[in-house]
Amino acid sequence: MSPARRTLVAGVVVAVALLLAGSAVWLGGGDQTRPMSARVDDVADGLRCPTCNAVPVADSNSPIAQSMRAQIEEQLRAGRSPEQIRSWFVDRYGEQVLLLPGTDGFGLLLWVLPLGAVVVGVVAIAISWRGRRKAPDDGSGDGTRSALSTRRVAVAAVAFVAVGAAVPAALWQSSSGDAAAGAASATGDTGDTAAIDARDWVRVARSLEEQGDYDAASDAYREVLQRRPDDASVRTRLAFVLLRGERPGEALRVVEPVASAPGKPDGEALLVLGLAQRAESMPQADDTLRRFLSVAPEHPAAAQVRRLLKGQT
Amino acid sequence: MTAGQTRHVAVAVSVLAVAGLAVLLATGLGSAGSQSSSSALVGDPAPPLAGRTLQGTHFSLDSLDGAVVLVNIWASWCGPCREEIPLLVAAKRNWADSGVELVTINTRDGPAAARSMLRELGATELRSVRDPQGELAVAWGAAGVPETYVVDRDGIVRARRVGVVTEQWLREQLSPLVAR
Repeated sequence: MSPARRTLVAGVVVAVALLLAGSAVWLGGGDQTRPMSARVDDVADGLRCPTCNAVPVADSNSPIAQSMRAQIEEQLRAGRSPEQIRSWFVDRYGEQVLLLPGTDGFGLLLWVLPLGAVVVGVVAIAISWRGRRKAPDDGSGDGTRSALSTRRVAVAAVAFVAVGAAVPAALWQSSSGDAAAGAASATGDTGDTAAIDARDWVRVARSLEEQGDYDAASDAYREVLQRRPDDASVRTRLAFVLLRGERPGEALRVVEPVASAPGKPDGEALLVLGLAQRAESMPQADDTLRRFLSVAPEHPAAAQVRRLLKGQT
Repeated sequence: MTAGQTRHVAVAVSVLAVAGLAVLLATGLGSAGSQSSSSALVGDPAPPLAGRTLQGTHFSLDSLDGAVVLVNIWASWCGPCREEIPLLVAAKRNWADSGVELVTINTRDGPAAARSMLRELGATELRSVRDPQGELAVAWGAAGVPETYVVDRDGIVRARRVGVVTEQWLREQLSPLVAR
């Protein structure tokens, strides 16, 4: 074997080894010293949210995806490996719950074949290129040369590389396409599953709020806002939940546009804004709360706000 | 075979190989990306189902050993669930003599909202295991709500329904199981 060919072969072997090692680390879910949330995300990134097709569980705010993340965390805490957890989900949701093909059976073939196709293609291109350098007129096709003329090898090589590269491209396209479909409809191919529309999200949010899970409730209200961006009452409700979840800075940013909107002042928005300003120790908090009292003197919270203002002055 | 024929055969074989590979990969990707309403659990033993109910008692699926069980997953924030619960309650009543039991999982819901909905529907006696974090629903492989599973007398999951059940579906699933 010539030195150039040896170098080429060694290069291919190293590239394949690095790729396989990287895949093993990725599929293994990383090390145990990372924060729990990151370890949950590692597993959740590879699982398909069942109500939103190709959106990873890590990126979905749907109730089932939140439950799946809770389940992943519980199992990680119980000392189960990412592979065991993935297998647990496959037992319940089938292979389709995996965003990428599995690493055994037919799934393994899907990993190995494209890789093999690319390697064969690259080697063939290199051989073809070297052949051309040695004999520039090769491949002119005089009919008596070997069936492996450089032109033919080049065509086959390009075909192999194209097929190999088509796999990640197809995966990417299927993910993004399905994600768009998933955003439009939560039903996917399951046909008659309840589509989670804005009204359902409001119910989810209220239910989570009732359970005191303000972070999850705020996520659910944000889902409503994505569907109804101009809904002032939902915006105010989101701000209220953020406030209860001790995130007054975010609450301020969310409710300010509602409270300062032209037209009749919104009492509820003024109340949330005033309370958020107070939590942030802003000097205008009392003025905002007084405006709330003047706009909504009969509001159930009015008496408490009066006491608050009185106690302070 | 002449050199020209050999070349043609070689080209044809290469094209077929590449096309075959492409078809194989496309098929594999298709199956990896598809979503079916059939459950991986069908044919397997039912996952554990135990916990506190909305009525405040403890329930375990093991206590219904030997019965055909309908397991339904619902939440008060799910519109179709509101429509389905009366159907399930009626099915339980109609099939009670054949030894059919009904258990529900109230998932990611507030107990007050859930009880209020049951009151509205006149179904306060509905056996409903609380699942505030949705872990039971995930253990049953649910993709959403409502979903219903049929468990046979040996504790094996025999069917899954995504969406609201119908009387016909219940009859088709339950009849062969209660006859055993």
